[in-house]
Amino acid sequence: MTKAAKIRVVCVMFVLMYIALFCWAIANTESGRRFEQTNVQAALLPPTWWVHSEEQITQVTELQRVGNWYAWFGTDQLGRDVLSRCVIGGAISIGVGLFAAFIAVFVGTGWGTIAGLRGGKIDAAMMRTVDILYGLPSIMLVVLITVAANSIMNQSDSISPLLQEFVQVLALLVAIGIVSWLTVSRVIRGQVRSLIARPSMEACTVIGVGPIRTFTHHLFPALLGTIVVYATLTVPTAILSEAFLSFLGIGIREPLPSWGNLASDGLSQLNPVHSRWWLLFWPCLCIASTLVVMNWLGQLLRNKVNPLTVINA
Amino acid sequence: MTTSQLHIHNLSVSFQGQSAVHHIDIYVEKGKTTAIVGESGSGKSVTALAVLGLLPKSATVTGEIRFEQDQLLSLTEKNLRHIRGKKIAMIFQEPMTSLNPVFTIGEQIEEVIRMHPRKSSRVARTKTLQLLQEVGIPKNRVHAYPHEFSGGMCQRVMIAIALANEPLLLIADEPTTALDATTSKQIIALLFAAKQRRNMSMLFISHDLRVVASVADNICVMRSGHIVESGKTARVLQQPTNEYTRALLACQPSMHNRQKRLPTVPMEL
Repeated sequence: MTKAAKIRVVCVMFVLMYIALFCWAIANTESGRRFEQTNVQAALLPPTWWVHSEEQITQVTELQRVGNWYAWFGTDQLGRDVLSRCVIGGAISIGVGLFAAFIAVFVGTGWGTIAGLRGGKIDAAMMRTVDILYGLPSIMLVVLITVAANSIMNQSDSISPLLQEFVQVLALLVAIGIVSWLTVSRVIRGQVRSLIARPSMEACTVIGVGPIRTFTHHLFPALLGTIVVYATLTVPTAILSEAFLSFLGIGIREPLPSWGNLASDGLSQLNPVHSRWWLLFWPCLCIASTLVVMNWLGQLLRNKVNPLTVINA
Repeated sequence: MTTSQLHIHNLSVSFQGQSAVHHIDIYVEKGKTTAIVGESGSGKSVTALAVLGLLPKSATVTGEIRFEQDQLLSLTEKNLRHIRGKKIAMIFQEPMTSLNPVFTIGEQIEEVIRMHPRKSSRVARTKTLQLLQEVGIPKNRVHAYPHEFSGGMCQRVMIAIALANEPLLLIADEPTTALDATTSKQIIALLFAAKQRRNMSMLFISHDLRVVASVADNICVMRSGHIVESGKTARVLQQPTNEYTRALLACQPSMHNRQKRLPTVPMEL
């Protein structure tokens, strides 16, 4: 098996495993969805395979006598299973990251391409707009947008709780998306300007290719490498800003978990008397490993779209 | 006059009031080669670009360029597109940068074939392989990217692209400038073999008189936007009437007499 095939198999297995875990975590139990299921008897227990105090041992024995109980990642102060919360939180965090990056790359690429292709006054006006937006503190903007969206939500009571959850997430990802397209648009504009100056673009005109086809079939494929790289760089940034905002308490809010607010919960439980490390450790491990994988994936994709490296594969 | 394929009449090009080409007349007869020679900045390339309407918007073009029945300067961009690549093809100076680095050469040749008019991919594929064979690139290199090729091979690909739709007129804008002497010779031979086979007309732009002498039927010598001398190749090279043409010919390096200083002609402004 080639190296690429091995990587593919590992990736597919990982994704399948995650989907299975997600289904398990979101599944309904007798008292609501599993990741929201509270159990006062099981509060603040360490992972079941970890060392337990005597008190905790009796607690666990009692729980295991009642039902088939096992907590791989431990439980939080309400007795909720940390593993299922990390899995659901991951879905939310990665989802927000991906969609925010998609918005950023989509808007940024469009803006940068138009500015680059038109040139002149339009280009100047568009890029000055970007400069001005750059000057505004982006976290501030995100906070304003999310707060505004949430206050609108609160005014109307008729909305179902599921839709409320959805709008909350949507507001956050749109907010992150519209503050992070600026860098992308600058980079893409520069790239477009340098690409259209190449003789190969003039050669397109010479062979009778129209302007639209020149863009879609000649310019865009050349831009793809840059777009892919920026997309994969934007995803971790978006995940990180989501985590940061949720950590501050303006992003995703309880009872909906995200890696950011899980970590924030964990931090509040970290004190010299009891080290309830599992509440902080798992969300942080999740964020860190996701960021590493995203960067690595970006490199992989860049090599895939770059003809200079394709032949060596 | 009926045999002329391309007739450039009284063409002037200026950039923001600065004249680049000044009232020039050039004929390309059907199946023949007209060469434009001159030093850099003499307006050779501007003339070639004007024919295909490739000059930037800042250029002011007056005069007329007649190709077959069409007045090229008054055609709309859309109509011009039907002529470019189909009836008139062009080869550039820089083969390495004129090819798109993100596509294989096969894809790039196929694209031109499929543009005018739309054809199936199988027809295009067969034609691509034929063209590659004609320009001397092995068939198995059809999936290679431009960066895997040398300058000479890229220029061969450019020629294949130019020939793809059997154009009536080929404009070669210094096709060998970026190549070394040996490769240059091969490319010229290839270009002219292809031209003879198809009975194409050619507008050949160069500053290399040796190349021009071997291939052109007619020569126009340009200097600072004017045509200083034009006529049959043999006549221009053997009995030049213009002082500048004589000086240009005297600049040819020779094995026998080494010159210390090259002859110059002061510019009358």
